[in-house]
Amino acid sequence: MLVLTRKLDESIIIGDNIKLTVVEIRGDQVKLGIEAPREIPVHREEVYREIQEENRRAAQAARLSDLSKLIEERKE
Amino acid sequence: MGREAGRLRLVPISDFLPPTSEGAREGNTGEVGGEKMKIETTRFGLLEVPAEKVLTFEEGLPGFEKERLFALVAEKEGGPFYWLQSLDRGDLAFVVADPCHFLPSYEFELPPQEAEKLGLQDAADLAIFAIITVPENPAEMTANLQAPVLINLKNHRGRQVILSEGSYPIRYRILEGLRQLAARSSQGETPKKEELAVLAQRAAG
Repeated sequence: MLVLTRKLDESIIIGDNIKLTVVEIRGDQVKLGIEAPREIPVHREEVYREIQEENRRAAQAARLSDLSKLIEERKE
Repeated sequence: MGREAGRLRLVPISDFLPPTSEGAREGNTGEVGGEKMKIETTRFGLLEVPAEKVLTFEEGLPGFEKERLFALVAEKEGGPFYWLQSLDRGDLAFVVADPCHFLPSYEFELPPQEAEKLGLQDAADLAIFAIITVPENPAEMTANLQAPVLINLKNHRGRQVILSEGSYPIRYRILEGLRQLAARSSQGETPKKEELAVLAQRAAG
């Protein structure tokens, strides 16, 4: 793994069109700004696990009735 | 088995083709070969799915990586909601809906590598669904807008795609979102795209 040291407001360029900037450092948290083409997916590593968990929750649904009624009521 | 025969129907994929894709629809009608997959499901009893209505998720879905084959099942009065029923596991089904039904501004850029994995050549062949999580109180149902389920209507390949961080929430509160949209339009405002994105974030749980 390549390890680079950066200070606040300094950046790293990856390839031609991806730029990471250290936007804020507070305690043990680092805020990064990411500039990348829209077609490049960017997400936190944990997001896949979160989607897995959400899918498991979603798989518990038992029935459809009521859902449609709820949404139509709200739309009127 | 099949409870209340006629209450359920498989959604013909061709139903999702936009009117401009009439040509593509032609090859898709009628029974092909008459081959069917049969599976005993917990929600619908015995389900028989014609081969041409089977959807293939080559990588499964996150959390369900081994389940590859699915079918869309519609219920009478299900409105915009459908079931995405696993054909590998009878007890596995997700509630899905077209997100544009409750968030008309929903849009995203499809990463080219995702389009490639779907074998997608024309955006018009794409059907988009959000997986709906229905908690004990159905009024608090949420839609996973960060990871929509995409189906290529041409080859019936499906994928759940994870969109970039900050675009849309994993738990978009559908009814709260509709309330906010209604409040905006009753003030005679047409929310701008950026504002809609903010609303979407606010409606997130």
